[in-house]
Amino acid sequence: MTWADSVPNLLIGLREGLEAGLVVSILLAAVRKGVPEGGRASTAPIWLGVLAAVMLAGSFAAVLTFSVADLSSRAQEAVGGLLSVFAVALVTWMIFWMRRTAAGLAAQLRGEVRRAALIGAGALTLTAFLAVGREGLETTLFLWTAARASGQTAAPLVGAAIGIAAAVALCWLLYRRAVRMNVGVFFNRTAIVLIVIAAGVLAYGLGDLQDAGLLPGRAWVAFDLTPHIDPGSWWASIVTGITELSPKMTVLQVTAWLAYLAVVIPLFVTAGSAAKPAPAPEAPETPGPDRWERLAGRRPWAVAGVLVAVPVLAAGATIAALPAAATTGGLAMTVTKTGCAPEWTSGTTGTHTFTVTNNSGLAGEVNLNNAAGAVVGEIETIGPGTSAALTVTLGAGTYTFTCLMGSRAATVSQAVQVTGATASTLAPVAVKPVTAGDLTPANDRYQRYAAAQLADLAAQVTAIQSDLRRGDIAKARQDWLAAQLDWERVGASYDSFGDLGLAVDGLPDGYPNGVNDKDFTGLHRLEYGLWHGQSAAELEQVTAVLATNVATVRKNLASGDLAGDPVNLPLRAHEILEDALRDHLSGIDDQGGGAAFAQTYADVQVTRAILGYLAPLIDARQPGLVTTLTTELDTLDQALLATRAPHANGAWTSLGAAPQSAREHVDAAIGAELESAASVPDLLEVPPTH
Amino acid sequence: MNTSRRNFLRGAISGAAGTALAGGVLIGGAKADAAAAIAATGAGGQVTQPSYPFHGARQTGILTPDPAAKQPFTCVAAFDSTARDKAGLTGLLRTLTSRARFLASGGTPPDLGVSRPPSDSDVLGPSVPADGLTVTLSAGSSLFDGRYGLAARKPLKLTPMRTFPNDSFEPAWLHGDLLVQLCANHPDTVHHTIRDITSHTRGAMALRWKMEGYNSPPRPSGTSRNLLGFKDGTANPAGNLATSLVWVDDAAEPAWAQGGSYQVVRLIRMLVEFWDRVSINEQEGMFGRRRDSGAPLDGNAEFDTPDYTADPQGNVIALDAHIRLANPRTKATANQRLIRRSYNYDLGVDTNGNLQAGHIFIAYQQDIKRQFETVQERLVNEPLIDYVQPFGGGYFFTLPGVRDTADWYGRGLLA
Repeated sequence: MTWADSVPNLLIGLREGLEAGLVVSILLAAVRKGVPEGGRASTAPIWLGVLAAVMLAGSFAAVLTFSVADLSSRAQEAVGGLLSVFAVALVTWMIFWMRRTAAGLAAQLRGEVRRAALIGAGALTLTAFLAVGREGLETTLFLWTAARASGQTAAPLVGAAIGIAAAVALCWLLYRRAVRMNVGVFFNRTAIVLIVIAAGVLAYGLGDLQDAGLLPGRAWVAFDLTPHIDPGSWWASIVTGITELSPKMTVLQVTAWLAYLAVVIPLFVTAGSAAKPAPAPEAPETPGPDRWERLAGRRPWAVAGVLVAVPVLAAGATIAALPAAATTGGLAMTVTKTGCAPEWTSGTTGTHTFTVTNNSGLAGEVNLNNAAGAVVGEIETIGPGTSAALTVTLGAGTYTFTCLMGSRAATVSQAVQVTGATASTLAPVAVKPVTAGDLTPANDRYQRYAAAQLADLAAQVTAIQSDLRRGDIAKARQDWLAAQLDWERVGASYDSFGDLGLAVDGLPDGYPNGVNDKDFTGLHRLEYGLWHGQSAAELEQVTAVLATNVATVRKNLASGDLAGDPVNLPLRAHEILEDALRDHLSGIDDQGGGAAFAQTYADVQVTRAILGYLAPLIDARQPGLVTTLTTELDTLDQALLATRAPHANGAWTSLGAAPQSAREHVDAAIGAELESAASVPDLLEVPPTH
Repeated sequence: MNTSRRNFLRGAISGAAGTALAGGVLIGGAKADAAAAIAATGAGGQVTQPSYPFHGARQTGILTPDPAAKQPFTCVAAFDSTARDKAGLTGLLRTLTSRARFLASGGTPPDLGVSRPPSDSDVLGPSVPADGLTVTLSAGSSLFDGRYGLAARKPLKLTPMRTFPNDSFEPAWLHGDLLVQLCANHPDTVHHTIRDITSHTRGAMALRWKMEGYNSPPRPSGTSRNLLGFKDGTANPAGNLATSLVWVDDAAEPAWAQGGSYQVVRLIRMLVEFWDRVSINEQEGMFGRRRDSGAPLDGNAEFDTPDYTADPQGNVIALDAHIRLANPRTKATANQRLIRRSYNYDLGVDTNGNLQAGHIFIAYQQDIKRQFETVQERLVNEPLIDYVQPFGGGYFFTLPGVRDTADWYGRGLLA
């Protein structure tokens, strides 16, 4: 957990808290000031509004948390925008009401003042409610997403709490000072500030409505300072937080902002003298003063009780009444230190996506297994505090979640009987898990095979050395091809021989001096020399280095960092031919020998050998796959052999010499085989340890 | 009566004015939206602007528009200068400036009368729209050889592009004296621009290589995806951070180079068929992100910050995962970050029948050694290299901006 996570939430708490608190303290001050000296006005309507708003925000948080369905961003913007515009209308109306009341206060005698304040009781509650409610909903939404994103750490909540506490303290200070000020100065100063804030909120709300598509002109941008201002910087947060202006604004936003200020400020200034100030046009209906005054004034506790109970009940009802969300919620699974998907209690056939949340504090793997213990769905790596999706198609049967977290013993869910019709479309194969131990016998057989191929290679390199000593380049070329094919049949792929593999079979690519680079060694270096007129003496040195490297490969064959890891064998079953397609049939590794088809043919031979060793493991998981692959390899062999007959007297030809249709048949055959072979590593994948 | 009539009049006038203002703003907004929607059709809903200002202290096409909101189509074209001398090169750069100025602003091409073929191809119709075009001009290290007497004025850190292990460079796709990066809202605008530029500079520079690219709209949200299906550019620096990493302000650099930027272009073939045959676990492990959401494997949402200190063994995000090597998110590596502005490309068919497709990696920075090369050295043996083949590109220096109508590309360099 990093405390930096709490900073944005602290700012949000402070900002939203200040915005709400400012309105509330002005309201409080207005009420206190509106009372003749020695009298007492009830601030209960304001606090009732605040209470209602806090309860609303709390209920909203509950609904968010307990119903999985996210509010779409468009809906968030539409709701936020409408609330903002509504809030501006009310704040405007409130400002004028205060002004009028204050004017009335100054002008009239004490007896009527209390009456004037009472007219506003309903408005006070509603204004406090909207001011706090709007910010509360925003804060809730923000906090909820932040808490989700940072994996349930306490930091976001602590940050927000500190921010809100600071805002309340600030407002209190502001309020204390305000109380000491006289009515006229206080109203004049704060009302103008409030008008400026309200103008910002109006612009911001209209921007939200534009983003939601409810108002046009989102693309008509008045100015965009985003490239010059880092919106994450502290000062930008404060400026945008207080004024609600953003570094990018549309023409509509700017116009509304200016028009609001141009209309409201002069009206406000003249309102004091005018007999009848114009009320804001959108001023909503308010409950009759008498009724509300009776309710709020005489039974504040009863009203408060209702305000607490209603949102709680409404939230409960909403959560209960979201059947769709509840069903999705049924697909939410959690993993804890001791539990594995305890929510797994019933299921239906078909395709489902489970959202698995890992609260175990450890990284691990989550599988859904069928009755035979075969894996039908998996999340191979799930980090602590994160959620991941597990999509699976279930037929009728019994299924159990298995959780393997860190080095702990596996935990399992209960076994659930899934009922319903099994879809006619082919359900994916369930895969019996594989261990490195299962693969060891096959890998041992492969290593014995590879050792024999390396012995052939070493003999062939010796033959090249004697050819070169005699100066017989033509014979050396033949023996080079034989050596290259021996190497192909070893089955190097997937970087399996590391730097040594590169030394034996590397390409000039990646070296600063290309074919002339001193680090370019091995079979392709020899090939380059043999086909580019280099002398036998020069190539003897190249071959001597090659012989040494081949000897080292032979010596280290069984060690873990070369071909020793049995977990890599299934990868080899498809990677050898993937490499043939990538390096040989594309022509990129040809240094003049033109051996693409010959090399691919040798690659088919080693692929057959490896599939043979893995066949029992593959057959146990996907019967028929080995037969399919064998048939496809036969087709590939035929296509490869067809490239050399009859136009080359039975010798292999280069890529360029083969007719286009012959090349197309090879590419088609290898492509088809590779699509099928891609299953082998998935079927025989040994999960990593966490 | 007098007062009430005056009030009535005042009310009527202000009502009419208010209605007119509100109506005007809403209608104007609707029109702008419609224009933006047309401009954005190629990007499938991504909103880009109809034009970007050509004049300024810095060139557009780097941070303007921001990489996250870049135009959906590009052409990157490298040229070799064939100008005989410094005066010829000056003429070339002046011509490039005037063409870029006109094309990025839009307008009606001049009428040349009956004695010559028309001045414009009409590919974009009789009146050329700006269509969000940015033209970004850079110079390769070869421009600073002996030909134009510019050797002493070469930006300090400009060299030919280094060959990294696993690069498979093809000379025909490498380097160049000048590099033009065109970005626009539609592919026909990109084509029209390269056609106009080559036509007006014929004889003074020769096209060496060029590659067209496109940027995908968010699918379904967040950063665009590359052709491996992963969101690409999520951690791109933005705002002040980007500004502080991209513009050359080192006092040791030549005065003319201040406000420029070093540009790395790498043409990277992606072996998409091979990639599609790799298990999702392996794919996500290689990147360190979820493919569907783009979330780091230790997070839930695309823009969550991976916490490597909590995972020192690489149990969740492997130590050799792409995002971890590229940006280890430590204090020491913070100034190695660079601004990526990459595109996808589709080029045809490879010799082996595979799709020839990939990634035009374009990055801007203050210092190639400190930024691109340091990051690339960490990435040398990442597992992803089996599925990509860098085959072309180069290092370039993006010139400072053209400030006004009297200024031209490289004036500080040549004057």
